[in-house]
Amino acid sequence: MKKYLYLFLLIIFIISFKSKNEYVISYPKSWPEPAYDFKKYPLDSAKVQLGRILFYDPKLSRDGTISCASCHLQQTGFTHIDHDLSHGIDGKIGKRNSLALINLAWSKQFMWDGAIHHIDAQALAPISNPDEMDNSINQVVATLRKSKAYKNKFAEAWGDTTITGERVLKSIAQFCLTLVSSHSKYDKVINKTGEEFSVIEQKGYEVFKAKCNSCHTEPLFTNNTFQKNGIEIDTSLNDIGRMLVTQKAKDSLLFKVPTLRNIAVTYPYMHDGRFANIQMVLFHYSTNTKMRIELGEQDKKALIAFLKTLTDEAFLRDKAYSFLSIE
Amino acid sequence: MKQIKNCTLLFVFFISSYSNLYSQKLVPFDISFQLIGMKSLEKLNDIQIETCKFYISNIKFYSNSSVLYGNSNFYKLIDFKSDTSVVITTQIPSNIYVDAISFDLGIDSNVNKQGIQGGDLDPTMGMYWSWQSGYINFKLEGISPKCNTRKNKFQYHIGGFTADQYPLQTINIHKTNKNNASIAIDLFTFFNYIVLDKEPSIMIPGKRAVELSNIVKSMFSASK
Repeated sequence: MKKYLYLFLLIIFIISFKSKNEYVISYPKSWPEPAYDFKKYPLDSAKVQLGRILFYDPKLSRDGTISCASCHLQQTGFTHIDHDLSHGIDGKIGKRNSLALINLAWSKQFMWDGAIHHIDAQALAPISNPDEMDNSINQVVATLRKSKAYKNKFAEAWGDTTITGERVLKSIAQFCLTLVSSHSKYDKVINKTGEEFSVIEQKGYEVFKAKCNSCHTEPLFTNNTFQKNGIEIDTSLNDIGRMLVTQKAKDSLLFKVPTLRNIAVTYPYMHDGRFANIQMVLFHYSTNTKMRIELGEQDKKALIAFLKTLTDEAFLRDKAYSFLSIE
Repeated sequence: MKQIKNCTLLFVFFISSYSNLYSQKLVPFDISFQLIGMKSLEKLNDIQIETCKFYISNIKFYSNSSVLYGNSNFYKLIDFKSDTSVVITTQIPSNIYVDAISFDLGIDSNVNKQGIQGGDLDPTMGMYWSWQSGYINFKLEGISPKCNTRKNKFQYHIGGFTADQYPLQTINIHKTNKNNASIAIDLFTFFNYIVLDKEPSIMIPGKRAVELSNIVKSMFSASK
């Protein structure tokens, strides 16, 4: 009898040892399943932590000044505010407004035009972009290989001190996948965990469900598709959006529907940041000729009140996502 | 006595054929790639090749037109660097008599859809597009005064993996030896087709990449 008990304990020990490092994201039961296959590719705590360190390390840029966090700041929904077009290395100004890194596990394509098809490949884009970090994955690997601290961190996460492009990119991807926002006031109301909408917020929610939900679908507040929304092309940028990737005329001027979660803190809006505040966005929708959405002044006030309930303070301040240094 | 002897023989036969099936002896199979025409292109056409690299994958071994062995987990980057010849070694079962092989020139859509991989597929190999993700199947770069480009460079990067932008080609080498294959890559086939001053580069997936992939495919043949 005793030997079976020991065998049982041994098995339990082995099983617990194997999954000790697994990092499981949490989200409400009512949410759809993530697009990312966590069963096949589970997250690992050591890899997540390494990815977080890399995310905040400006050493990944050509001159050591720009990190991912330079354009993706936690306090403002992992994007940066007050800039219509993001700027990167040497103060260069880019072509688009940075996207908020929120709930990426539910996306199948990344960037405003879906140019990146897998989250593991995502970090390669800003690292290589001459207006952003102006570096190469080869140079990133060479830089990290000079650091004993990084070698040790990679060994902790990946089993040995070899630093490769694959390991760098996958670590950053793992960290990005943990950025889940699901504790806003809206969530607390919907999940009945003790909060209620005010009268105007409730009114705004009704307007939202009637007029905005088809593209900014709950609970992610995006349906993760590419859409036109009536904005005219900016001839100083000539950004044709999705068509750049698919080369199909039908995809001209289509852009990915961004999430509205934390929208109050992620201004300005649209792929080129042309709208400084939500009022301007609603003015566009209620007046443009291509895709008009009827919104009275009271509707707009209520809608803005509702959209503010999508701010998730816990997410914006969670220390688990904040700056972490390698040393 | 005879019955026991027969049983024993039968038993030994079973064991040996069993182990033959499940623990096959693997032997090396060498594939050599040679770039043909480098010197002539330089002397006669003023075309200098600086980079030629490509992926081969999904290799299959044939005997009498039937596939006897395939390795779908086989991915190799062939990078000529400053040589005109590259030899790689793979493994095949010892008991097959190979007379032809085939392989894909590039990385298939299944692997592309899984994102980033390591080893020969690591993005530090310089064969992964950063701005629109996906592997580059074939890269050919160099200099020619015919190119009205910066530094007279020509750059042909052929890749793509979505259904309508899929330039993956299967190369059939109809004649090999039992333990090795020798493949010639005739650069003239490409440069006789391409009009350097009109088309010095391709850097994106799409229809043209698919068209050019057919030309690239026709460069490959069994060495004479």
